Amino acid sequence: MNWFLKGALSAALLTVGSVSATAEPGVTDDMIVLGAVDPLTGPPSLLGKAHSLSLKVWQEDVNARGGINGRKVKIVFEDDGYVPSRSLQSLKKMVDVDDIFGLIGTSGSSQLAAMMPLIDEIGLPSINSMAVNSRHFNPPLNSLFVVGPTYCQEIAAGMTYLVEELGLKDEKYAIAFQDDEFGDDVRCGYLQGVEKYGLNNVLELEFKRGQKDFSAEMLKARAAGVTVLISGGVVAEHSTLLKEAAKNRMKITFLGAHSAHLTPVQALAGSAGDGFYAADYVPALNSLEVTGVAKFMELANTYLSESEVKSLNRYALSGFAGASMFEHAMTQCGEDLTRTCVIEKLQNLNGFETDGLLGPVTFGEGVRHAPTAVMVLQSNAKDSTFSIVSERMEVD
Amino acid sequence: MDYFILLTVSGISIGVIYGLIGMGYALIFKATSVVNFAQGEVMMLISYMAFSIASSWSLPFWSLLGVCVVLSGVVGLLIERIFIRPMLGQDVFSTVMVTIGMAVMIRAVVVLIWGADPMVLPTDIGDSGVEFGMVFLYTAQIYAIGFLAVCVFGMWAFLRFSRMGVAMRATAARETTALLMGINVTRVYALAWAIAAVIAGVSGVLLGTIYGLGPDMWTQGLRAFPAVILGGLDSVFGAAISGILIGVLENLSEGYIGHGLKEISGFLVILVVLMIRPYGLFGTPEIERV
Repeated sequence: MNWFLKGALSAALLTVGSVSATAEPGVTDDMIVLGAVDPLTGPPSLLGKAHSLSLKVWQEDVNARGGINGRKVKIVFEDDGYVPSRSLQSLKKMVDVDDIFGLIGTSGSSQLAAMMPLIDEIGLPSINSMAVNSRHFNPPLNSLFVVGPTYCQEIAAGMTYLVEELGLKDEKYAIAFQDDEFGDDVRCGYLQGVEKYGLNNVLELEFKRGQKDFSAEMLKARAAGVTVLISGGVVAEHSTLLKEAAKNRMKITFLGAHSAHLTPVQALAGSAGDGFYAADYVPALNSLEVTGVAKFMELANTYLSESEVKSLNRYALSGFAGASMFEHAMTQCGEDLTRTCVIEKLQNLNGFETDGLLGPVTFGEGVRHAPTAVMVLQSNAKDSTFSIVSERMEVD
Repeated sequence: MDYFILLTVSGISIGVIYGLIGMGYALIFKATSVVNFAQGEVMMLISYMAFSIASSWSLPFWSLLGVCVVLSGVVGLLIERIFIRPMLGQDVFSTVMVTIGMAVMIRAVVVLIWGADPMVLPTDIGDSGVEFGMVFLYTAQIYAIGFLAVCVFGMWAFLRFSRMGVAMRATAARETTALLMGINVTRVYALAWAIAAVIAGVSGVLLGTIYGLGPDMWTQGLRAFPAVILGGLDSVFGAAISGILIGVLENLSEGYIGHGLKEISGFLVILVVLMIRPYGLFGTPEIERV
């Protein structure tokens, strides 16, 4: 009896030992649990909703294809309301309660910054495909992978298009930028462009985020003879700048970052929303000639309701591309899925293709930022679409 | 000179919105001695309601405005009945705190019902406008100027000649005496809240038509606050004039100086003015501020 008890105990301990040695958080024999923190309420929910819907599409698609190495995917969504402290709280909850394996939704720039210490502490494989800031990869965290150029890189590439393709070298340039991190990043790209081409920078206008009236700013721009304006405002600010320019009968070329690549910008600007440029690293949702977009829209129409499809925007494409990368890494790891393996596979991505959703994605040893190539889009306000007007441009 | 004129005219066009919102603050303060910190939020709420109405029925602008006037009045009365009347007899500070709570609640309700995405208020005047020489004004901006003029004249006539207006002034002067004279003070309060909500509602529809809707619209209420302080908290007329002054000042400071002065110019002016006239340009000297 004594021998029997000892044997049983040893066997039990061995079993527990072997399970704890191999089991990864969020991974069971038939399921992988992933997490996503997105702003689903609050002003930036326009971005968060589209991003989370794309993850939902990816989840349905992966599971319909039989899952990843036989394991179905389940995504736990958390709404942080775009508040950094809530982002961290959400992540803690997902780690402690939901036991997630990885993170494929990292909310906004400051929100991710708040989560970074925890991501680093537990080595949580994470992919940021929504809001890129140099703080996210400088210095790099081993488990955090950032896809897409910074606003600075985007605008600099956009200005290359203005000068080299449209020949707008001898124009009078100005920038209107909001008084936050986003505005500073846009200004960074603007100044790079000005310096690179020796452009005539006649005016720099800083404004408060959320400002409604831009009459004085645009009159100032008119008085300075501005012909090209780089906009460092998000949705409402960008559209109001466009409207004010039209109201003042200004013939002006507008360039914004990818935050201008949204249909509400066109809608709010009305007829003034026609013809402006936006630098982005994903194509427009209506660019069905791009394989990745056509594929995504087909899946979206299958798995989402009509109203959900209407909520999609460019953040859905970047989110879907990010999730596809994560899927690739997990698939490569085979049945023995570990966080270490996924990090290694993501790190080894070299020229990874996403059917044109992004330019080729490359990470590497100590390289956690893939500043994918930028293209320029032009707004067609009449039919609420955007056209791709440039080739993809590699960023510096 | 052209530059100066353009800055001034565009300053007036945003200033009238400040003036309208400011009139609502002043009217409520005049009648009830309460600063309604939810005035900007009421404006936002009505403009979102206008969005739902305009999206459901394609009403012409004036019909939409008419519906919103009625709706705003009802909202004002409801606010007074539900939140403010139970506070009668309580410390003014407590009532002010109630308005702050109400403001936060309205912001949340707007996001809950209509979401947080920026939206277009679909009216048939849209981007149309009129060119006056070198100045172009949106139709909604012209209407806002006209509405402010009507409000100023209407409020002056109401307070000067109507029985209810005189009762409102009497209540503002001394509530207890007004009660002893047989004035129905609760009705006066209710009317003040209703009129303030109507003014806020119309300014919200006009603001939404010009700039679109967003859950941060309420901040215009904060921007209008210097106007009402400058004009005098109990001066409805002063709030209207000061709104225009602040709008013009903001534009001129941005146009000629810049560097973010637009954001603080209104507050700088009220600091200076209040040092010389603590009750504002048009206010009554005995005002107790909260």
